[in-house]
Amino acid sequence: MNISVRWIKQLIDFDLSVKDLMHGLTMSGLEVENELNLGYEDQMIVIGKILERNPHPDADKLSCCKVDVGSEVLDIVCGADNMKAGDKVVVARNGSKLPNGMKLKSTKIRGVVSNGMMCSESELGLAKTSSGIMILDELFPVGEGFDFVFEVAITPNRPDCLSMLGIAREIKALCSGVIKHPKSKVSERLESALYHVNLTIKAKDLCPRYTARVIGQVKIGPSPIWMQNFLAVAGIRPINNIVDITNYVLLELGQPLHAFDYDLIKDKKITVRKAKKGESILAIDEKSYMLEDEDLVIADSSRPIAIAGVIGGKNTEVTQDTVNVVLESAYFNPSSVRRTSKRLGLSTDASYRFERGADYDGLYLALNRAAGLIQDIAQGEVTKGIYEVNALAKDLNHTVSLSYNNVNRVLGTNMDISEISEIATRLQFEVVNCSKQEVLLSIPSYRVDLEREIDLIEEIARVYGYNKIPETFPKIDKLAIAKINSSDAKLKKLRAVLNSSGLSETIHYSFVADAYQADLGFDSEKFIALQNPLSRELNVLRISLFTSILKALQLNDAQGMSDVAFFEIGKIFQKTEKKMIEENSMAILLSGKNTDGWLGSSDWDFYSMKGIVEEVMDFFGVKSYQIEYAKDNPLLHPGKAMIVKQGRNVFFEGGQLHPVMKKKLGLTKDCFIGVFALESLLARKSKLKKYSELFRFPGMNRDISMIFDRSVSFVDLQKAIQKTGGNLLQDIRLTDVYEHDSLGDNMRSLTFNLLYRHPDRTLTDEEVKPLFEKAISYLQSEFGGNLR
Amino acid sequence: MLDQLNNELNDIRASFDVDSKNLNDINECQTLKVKYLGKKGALALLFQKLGKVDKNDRPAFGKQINLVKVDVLAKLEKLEAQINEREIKEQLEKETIDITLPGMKSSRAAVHPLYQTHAEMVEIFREMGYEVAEGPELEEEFYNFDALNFPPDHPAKDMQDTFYIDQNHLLRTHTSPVQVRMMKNHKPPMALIAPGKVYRCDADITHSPMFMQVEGLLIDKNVTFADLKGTLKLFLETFFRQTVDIRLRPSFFPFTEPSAEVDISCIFCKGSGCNICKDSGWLEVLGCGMVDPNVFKSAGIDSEVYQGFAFGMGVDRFAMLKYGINNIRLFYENRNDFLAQF
Repeated sequence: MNISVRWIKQLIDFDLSVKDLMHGLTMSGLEVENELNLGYEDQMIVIGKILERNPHPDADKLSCCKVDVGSEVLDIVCGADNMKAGDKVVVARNGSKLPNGMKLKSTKIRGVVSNGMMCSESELGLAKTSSGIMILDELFPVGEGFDFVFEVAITPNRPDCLSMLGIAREIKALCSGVIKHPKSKVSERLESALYHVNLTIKAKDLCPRYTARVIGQVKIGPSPIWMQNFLAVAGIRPINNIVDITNYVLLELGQPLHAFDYDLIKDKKITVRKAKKGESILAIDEKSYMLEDEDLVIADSSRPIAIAGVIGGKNTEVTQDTVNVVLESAYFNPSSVRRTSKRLGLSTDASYRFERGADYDGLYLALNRAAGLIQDIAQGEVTKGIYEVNALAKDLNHTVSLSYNNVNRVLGTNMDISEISEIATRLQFEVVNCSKQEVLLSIPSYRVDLEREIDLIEEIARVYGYNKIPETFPKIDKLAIAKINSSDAKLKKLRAVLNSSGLSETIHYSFVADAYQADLGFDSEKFIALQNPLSRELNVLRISLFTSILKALQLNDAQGMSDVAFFEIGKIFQKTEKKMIEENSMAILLSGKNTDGWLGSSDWDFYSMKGIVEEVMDFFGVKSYQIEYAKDNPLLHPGKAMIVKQGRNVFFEGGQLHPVMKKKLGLTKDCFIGVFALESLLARKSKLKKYSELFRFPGMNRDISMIFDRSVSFVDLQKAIQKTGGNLLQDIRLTDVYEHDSLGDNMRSLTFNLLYRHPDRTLTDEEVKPLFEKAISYLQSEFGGNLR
Repeated sequence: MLDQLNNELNDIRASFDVDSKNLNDINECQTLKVKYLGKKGALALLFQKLGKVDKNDRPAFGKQINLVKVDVLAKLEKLEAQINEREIKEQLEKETIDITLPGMKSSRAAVHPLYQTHAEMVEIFREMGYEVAEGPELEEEFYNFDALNFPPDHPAKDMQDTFYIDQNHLLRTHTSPVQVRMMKNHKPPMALIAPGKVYRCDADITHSPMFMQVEGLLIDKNVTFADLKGTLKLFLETFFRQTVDIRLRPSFFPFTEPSAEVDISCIFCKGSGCNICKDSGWLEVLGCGMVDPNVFKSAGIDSEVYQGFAFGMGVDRFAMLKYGINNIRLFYENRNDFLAQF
């Protein structure tokens, strides 16, 4: 909300500089966000009066003005055409800096010296565009600094601050000061019988209180300049005097008002009711809105004439031809207004306030303030009496009790009774009852956020000053606090394992494009879609981390960085017929070169990926597992990809990216990708590592080199050798794989290094020889191996 | 005879002196050793002739030969040592490489700056005695809003632009639902820290539709707002490794009362004003407050007995401040040249 210091000063006298005011508001919870220094204090932008306007000797479109700015008379050349001698204007003096960055200095314009500039609203940062300079009301005193405007961010719990009066009340709480309530004197001169309205409330839960006045014989025209000036500062365009008055009172007091053209209300019936399904209304914004039966409308005998609390209807809008008006000041149910405003995608100054909570007790004040202004400005005649339905048995004497002890118990302070009651007084809470322990306070009706003791404790703290509260360190009883399970520590170690293998962590959005994910071969039936995605590129949750790491690779490859090793740990999401599933997952990606330098380079390959997988399995204590070709994954090369599993439990699936996919994704290098079922790996009970006794005697190494058919797998050979070696065979290492035409079609040679070892003594050749020969003959007979 | 042998001995000595002057390597040294000291070497041959010498002269001459033998041996050893020394010196010179050539590296792992920051934050709180807690990212509306005292149809929900999945499910907009989940399943006193990803439909240079938060919660019988201030100050000073002033401004979160936004004195300009703190001298870093009694109620904890504080902060914000990163999107693009800087 935009706050004008000049306007605020009309509502409260206070003794603070603008800077201190903004700081004070920020520190009491009304954060000041943007500021427009329009000379209020430094008087670089001042109120001036045009004494003369003469044509420019050399330019038809320019004029030369003499402008009184109090301390002197300035010669200003001006290109606008909407001013005349006698007008009051906003003058930016030489040396001033305008909000748009323009710096003023003495210049010659077509040969005539100009000292300063008369500003338009857009030059002052008050409007995006403007035609002509800003003309001020006669009431503005010449020579004074113009204004200082700042924006305050009001949290949703403080609708009472969405007005100049609300801000004035905050200033009072900050630094005392005296509030000057705007006058709301109404002379009821017209007989109501002539201007009768038949008011009915049919949905009292949604509209517990409705008040209205009829004002006759209004003269529609522009509102007075001073009002237009204040509306401009608040960023609102003038329309006509009636509409401007309702807007002005909304800004001044915070209560949204609406004016209907009395003569256009059919049968003079005003009914507040729920909309009928299928009903629609053309609103004053020229748009038509379809209504639902949960929406609340103001209707006449045949049709809606306003969407309650949101916007008025075109059919009863106040126009140039309006003679009599009905002025509405009502309280609408916040949730109801919000639901309607949300559904229609229509947020107005009125709905914004109603959905946060209007002042139930402030309806009369606003109604009479506006009626008084219409009477004074538009020469309206106010009819006798106020039409009202008040259905809510709301406790108007809203009281809350506050225990002094609880204030200090929650805040950790040592405030005494007098400090607390002094703050309560500044907040305009009335003491109803008071003891040594607690005080019963009556809360003003505009403070819709204060219902409980804790709410009052916050108020006390806020005005006392958060920064006066001491800083202490709590005593945490580490023995007593609840123990909580989490995988954070385990994942930290896992990250270290992957880092030490040379992999960097990536972090991607959890959402991707459904098309991208489907293109990778995932079943789009299982995607979880966002109802309101930011874009089509981010419209479903990722079903696999393959999506994320391939994205990373594409991005890096496109930037010429195709040698990368990544891992990602994160959640993946899918839906089944019954539910939505969220799981931990981990992916790895190895692309291009592993090492690269002048001494030579090496590429990542299947086996370096497998080495990482083995490390991860070891990390999770998975000792025995089966390995199969991953044949059915369209992302993977069927001959260079594997599934690691234990029974039906798949722990890993990965391998070389399928060449077709590589081409499709436009990748330049072969890469190896894989995903771990992190959820089930994390679910495994981690076993403590157990020490096994070290061997104290050297072992005996024996090598076997044999030629086998390629279809004979290493794992089978390894198992076979293990069987022949008994307890003494401690280790079998594959030291070489050799393939060459000379070995024969589809043949390869494997070299194993076998380590025989006895825990209690040094083995002799005689002991090892039979075991070793047994291994050889077994490999020959069972696997058709031939010694090389 | 003695004279003849004496001459022979002198010849041997003289020829050894000549021979030993031209040694090139350790092999020649060995050859020389054999030639003079070997079983069939010059001195051995002379010993064989000792029998021909007069019996009386024998011991003295034998001693003479021995002296020569000892002398030759000593000289040879010395030579050998010299040659060894020379040879190793030559070898080392020959093996000397250009140490200015660049080192060979295998692919170097980077630790993602967000994870680094996350881990650091968690570690600081773990040391204070906090336990790490986790919760789902695809969350129920109830835990994300209702249980946290967001009234239905209240504009407070607008403070957090929410990605909805369906009527009852959304992507959590903050880590605060973890508070309620933990309160429901554990008994106070409790001290927990809940790091994780959160989502809001918002995207610009400082806002990302997904970002990381760390949530903290301390519940016990006498936890105060002053304790919250002290805890945050200690955390912030530990994290930024410098003394900082903290400033709390009243704010509004439905799940805390009183609520506050926390600013720290700008770590770049020490509060004198710079473009990072927009000349204010302060940096907004987190939101916090005392747990609202309604939250305790929805979690089944008696707010007459227990009170506590909660806070939530953006890991991204802290990482950006810590490393001077000016665009939040860099964290989630995962360019290798970005990651490799960490």
